[in-house]
Amino acid sequence: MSDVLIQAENLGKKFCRRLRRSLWYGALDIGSDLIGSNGSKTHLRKEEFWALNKVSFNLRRGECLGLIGRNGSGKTTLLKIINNLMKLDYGRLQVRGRVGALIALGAGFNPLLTGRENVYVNGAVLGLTKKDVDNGMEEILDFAGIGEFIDAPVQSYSSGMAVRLGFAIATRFSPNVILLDEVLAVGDFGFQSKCLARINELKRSGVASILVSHNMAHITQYADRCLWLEKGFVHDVGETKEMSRAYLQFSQEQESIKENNKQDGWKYAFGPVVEEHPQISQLHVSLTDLDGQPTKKLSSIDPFIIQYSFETTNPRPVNLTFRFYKKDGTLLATINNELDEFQVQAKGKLVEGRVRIENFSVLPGDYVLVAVVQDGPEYLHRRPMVRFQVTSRNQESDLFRHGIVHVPHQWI
Amino acid sequence: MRRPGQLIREFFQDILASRELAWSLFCRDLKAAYRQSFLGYLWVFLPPLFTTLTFTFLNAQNILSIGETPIPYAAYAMLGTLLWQNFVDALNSPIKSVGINKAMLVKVNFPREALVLSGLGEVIFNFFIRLLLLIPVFIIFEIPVTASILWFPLGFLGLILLGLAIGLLLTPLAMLFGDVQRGLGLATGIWMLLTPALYPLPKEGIAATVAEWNPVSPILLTTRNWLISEPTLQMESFVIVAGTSGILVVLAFLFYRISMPHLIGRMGA
Repeated sequence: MSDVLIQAENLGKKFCRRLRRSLWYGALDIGSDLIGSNGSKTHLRKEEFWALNKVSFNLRRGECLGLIGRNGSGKTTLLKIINNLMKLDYGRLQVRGRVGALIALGAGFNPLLTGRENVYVNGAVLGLTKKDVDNGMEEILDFAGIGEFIDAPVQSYSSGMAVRLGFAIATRFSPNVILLDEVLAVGDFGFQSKCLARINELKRSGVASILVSHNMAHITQYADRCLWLEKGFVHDVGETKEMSRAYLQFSQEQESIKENNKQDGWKYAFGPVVEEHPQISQLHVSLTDLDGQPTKKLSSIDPFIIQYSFETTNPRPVNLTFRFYKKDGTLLATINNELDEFQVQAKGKLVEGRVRIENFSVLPGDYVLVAVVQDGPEYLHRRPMVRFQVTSRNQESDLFRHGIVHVPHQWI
Repeated sequence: MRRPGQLIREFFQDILASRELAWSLFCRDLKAAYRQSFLGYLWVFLPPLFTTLTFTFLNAQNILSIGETPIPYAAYAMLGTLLWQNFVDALNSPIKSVGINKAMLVKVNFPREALVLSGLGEVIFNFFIRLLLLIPVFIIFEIPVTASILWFPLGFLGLILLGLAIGLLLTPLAMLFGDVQRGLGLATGIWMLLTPALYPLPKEGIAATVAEWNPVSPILLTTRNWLISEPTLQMESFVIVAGTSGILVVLAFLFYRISMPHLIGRMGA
């Protein structure tokens, strides 16, 4: 059992939605604490809700626990409770050893003082003695890598520099448990990898850690297990691989529910939308496989067809563009008949045709096809036409592929 | 409050543990406070100096009639405002200290007592700077210095304890509601005028009753009389107020300690 550094049993914490009432409850809580009464801590008062409810878990030496869950699910609250910044309303929390929080990097920095002066103050705040700081100064400066800026007032630092200095100080102090809340979201790439290396080093030396990040790549890379919070409750807990897959799937489902609820919302994420123009009508665009079967699921290695048709009263030659977007709005590719020096023929009012795509080499995910009909710079029609999915053969590993494009390759 | 013995023991342990941090914060605030200022430490004694000059002027013009003072009025008023200033500084210091460090409080877990100690350090530091102002006052007005001045540190301690006790008791409330800090500025301004700092102890009328019930007046008057070698008439009240303040400071510290975790949770990041 001595291996368990954090043991949380049935934790509960309530918050109040309104500030004034919350402050008043705070005053009442102090009062009941003073007279030693336990009050009714397990009941919700008016306007209160559970920020954490019945949360239990434990953390062993050298283990990294990832906290996942959507915004407002209670991740940061849990970290604050472990860091002893908040009182529990019920439950029992046992923490063995020192807790180091890489949450507020550079808290207590005074902008008028130099970086060096602030190192001493920040060190003292984190519980380091002046001697500790003196001994570690060189290492801190080396890690922060801010050069001669160390003797300039902190107000002249970029935010990244302040964070680097903060991280360098915070990891000097040797905790038994470290709490990481989105620390990796700041700083440039070089520094990020430096941080991750340092965290790995601490982990190997037996330091347990709790990592909060919305970047699933960081979670899957560092966490051994994940605790998934949903509205203050533990939704699930288990191996990282399993948890992150379930979580991603869950988020996507939630997202698509949301999208279905506001059908119109999504189409504005991919540039201007022009739907009604007197010269264009009956526009249809669909994706099919080579046999002409409509599909919305593609593979990144097989060819497919874009089929289009519309009616136009515009006498000038047709200028038709297809734009491929990632679901988040990133433009991936465009195909335009004039640039390709291909004339799209109209038969009377009707325009129809097909484009064969050899392979759409992107990573598995959700994509959008936008069709654009132009007359010079004027849009006659422009809107997302098809939402489709690209999948790979091995869906298991999709989670761990990062980037945008699929590079056809072979291990030899 | 269910285990007072343990609470008090932990409290003293934390006070000890937070010495170094308090010192560090004190140095930080001191360095930062004057780095962005031309007049620097002059600001510590400009306010009492100007209050004294104003009252001396008003008194000399017979707009105010202060009456007889044992030493020249300017010196008398100067001593009074300096002592009063120490009391107010001590009263404001925990609230100010916690206010400045709010961002740090909600994010980092460190002994909360350190903030109060570092604020107290600043009060004492400012006091020593003001002492420098007293020396020329003693020389210019040829005020005799006798052995009774040796009692002065005791009086100073009394002022600090009284101020700190009130300030600390108000700190948790001040963290919850901004009204406290605003109200306090108003209240201390009026309180100063109701305290025999700029005038001697009134002998009759409502002012005399107010002064009698004003806890600051016995301490301030006794301390001033020690400084200027006048007989101290309110020793009994001095001992009662100073003693009560001492006990109150410990209780207020415990109150602060109990309420901090509640408050920090409510303040959010």
